Amino acid sequence: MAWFRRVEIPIAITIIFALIQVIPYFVEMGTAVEAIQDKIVRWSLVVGTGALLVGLASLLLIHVPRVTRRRTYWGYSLVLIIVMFLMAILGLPFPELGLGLTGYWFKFLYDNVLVPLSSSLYGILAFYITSAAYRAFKARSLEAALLLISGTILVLRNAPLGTFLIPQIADLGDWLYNIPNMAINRAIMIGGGLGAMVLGIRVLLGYERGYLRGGE
Amino acid sequence: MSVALFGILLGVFFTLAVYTFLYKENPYSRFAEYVFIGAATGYGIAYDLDWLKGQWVGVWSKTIGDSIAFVLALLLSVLWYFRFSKKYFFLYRIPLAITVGTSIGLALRGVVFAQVLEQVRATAALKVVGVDAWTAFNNFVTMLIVVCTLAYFTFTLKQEAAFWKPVNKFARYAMMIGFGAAYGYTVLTRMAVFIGRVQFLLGIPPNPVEAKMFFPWVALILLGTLLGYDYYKKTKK
Amino acid sequence: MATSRVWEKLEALDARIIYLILWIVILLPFIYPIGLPVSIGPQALAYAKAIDELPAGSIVVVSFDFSFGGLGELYPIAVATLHHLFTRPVKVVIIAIWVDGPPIADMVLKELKPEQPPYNKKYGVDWIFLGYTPGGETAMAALGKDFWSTLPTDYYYKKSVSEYPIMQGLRSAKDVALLVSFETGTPGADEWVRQWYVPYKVPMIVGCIGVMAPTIAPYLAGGQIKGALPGLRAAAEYELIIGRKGLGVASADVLSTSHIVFVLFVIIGNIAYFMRRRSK
Repeated sequence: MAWFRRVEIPIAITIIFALIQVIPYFVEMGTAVEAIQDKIVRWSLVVGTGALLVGLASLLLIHVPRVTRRRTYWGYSLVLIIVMFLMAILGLPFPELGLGLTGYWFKFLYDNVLVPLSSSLYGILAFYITSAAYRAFKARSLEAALLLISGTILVLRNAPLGTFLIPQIADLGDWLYNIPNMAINRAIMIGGGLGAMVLGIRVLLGYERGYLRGGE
Repeated sequence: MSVALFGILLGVFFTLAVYTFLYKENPYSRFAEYVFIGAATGYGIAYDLDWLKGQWVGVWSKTIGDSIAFVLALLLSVLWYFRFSKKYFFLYRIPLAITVGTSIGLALRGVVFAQVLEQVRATAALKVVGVDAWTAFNNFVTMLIVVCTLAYFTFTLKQEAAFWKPVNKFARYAMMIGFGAAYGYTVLTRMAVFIGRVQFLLGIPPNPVEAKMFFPWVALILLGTLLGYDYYKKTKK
Repeated sequence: MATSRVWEKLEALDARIIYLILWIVILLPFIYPIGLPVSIGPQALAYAKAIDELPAGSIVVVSFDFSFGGLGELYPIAVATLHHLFTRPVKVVIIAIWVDGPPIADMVLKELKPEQPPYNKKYGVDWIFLGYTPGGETAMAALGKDFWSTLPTDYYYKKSVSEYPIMQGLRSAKDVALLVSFETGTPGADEWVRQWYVPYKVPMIVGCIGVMAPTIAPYLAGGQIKGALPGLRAAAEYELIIGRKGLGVASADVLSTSHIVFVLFVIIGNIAYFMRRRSK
């Protein structure tokens, strides 16, 4: 394998960029080093912006062949491509041409197309959670019963009618939130934090390579 | 019809088109899904490009060194495209390594304090003596749950010893109660998002009041065509 | 046997009937309001207190870190919070870490109109809208270090931030008296705590969707987050505290009907389940 294809190169880059952020944080190295560190953070943000364009490319790779080969739902794919380019072009940062994020037509599209669609798609989950609760949220065991009781108390706690009819439900709900819920989330947070540290150290040592997987 | 009014009609149509999916998958809901993916991607690209232009004009174009660094960053960001090439995949790994390295470095330095040390300290600082009985009880329960849940997740192997059984059982019960609380809040969010859409459809301020005018008609047309088509298919059989 | 079949049928109720009932119970309270009182909890009080206690002239950074999907819960929270901030003698800097943030912030600002009475806040002097920074946690770290370089221009006029008087007092997170973040997920509270609380000890309050509430509980208990409004119910409570009724209070009745019907469904589902088992 040619030397420039070797996986050691990106691993070395990862380690260098991670250490640039870690070392000056724990060891006092002066303002000049801090300024460079800060600049590298912003520079890496610029490098990262290209990732979103990969989203565009991957959508095109899926939908353009669908349209050209007239596969099932090709019409919808065509709509997707048109809307995507329309939105991106209308939002291009050229206010002198009437385009841009604060331009009339870009705003028109996100106000009347993107916002309704995005929030409605999330909103549909209200129906699924209700029907799933009806079907599956059952006291089949002691564990399930505990989950059911605690969940129901919190649901009632969040309903003004619940706290109106049974005022104690507010305190009980808050206790469940502040004590058992907080404690298990704290344990998960500590566990997750330790896991993230181990992962970070594995990356720094070059053992963790999962994110580089792919290619030939 | 003015453009603004047409926009509100579009909003009502897309909202209801999504919800026709509850009846079954249909051309309206499919159209809504595809438009959403296209619009969301285009929108993200527009924001990214705007930020990039702001960076160039406001920061990086000031000195030659910075300008070179910016152009280099842009060239590197183009390498993301080699994600789709088997032969040149190694080029895609370079911008990936830069962003992953920086973000891991940034996260690593904070995670130690925010998620581990601060949380351990907050748990250890809980008092069981010198406070009122209720606080002492709560603090004791908190410590017990934190320790048992951590033990449950950390020592997943070799737990045959009799000592572990009650610890695991307690941790499991505590987690179920805790997850119950999370479930209650999940229900709140799911309902709230839909409530937000209903407020839009009913034109409750600050939503445009005109939406209320379109809502019943659009709903009738969408439902009518779907039910009508199904009825037509049924009778044809 | 026959009764068993009835319970079986009830258990296997067509989902579309459940959907229809949910539509009805969510639509009805808007047509026939009940006007139930909303009791105020300690979380909303702590959140309001953090804003009330800000010394005059402090700089508050408000970050819109949510997607359009969070509008139902976070729009009322954002409107009420910015209203509260604009009624106080503090300086407000609005940013976004999520790409959906700027238009939402724009909607909120259009509703409030900070330039007009009762606020009379001057753009660029008392408040400013800087827009979006991509990069999630990396962006938070960059902003913490240097606002001017990370967001060199403002959102509305694309003018250099150095031209605005408000920005003379804001170079890094060290100058920030309070961070307010409206969140639907990651990046959110975890990342802000890591990048702003740990190194700079910036006090922080959070308005978040209900789903996120359990995960921020350890930060609330540990003091890294001073106060939180978890979800729509808390939004209604907060609106009552600050005396500006909005979509939160308007949703109180419908929250009741939807949640109570949800509980009823769970109860009926369980009764059907146990009765079927029993009759077998």
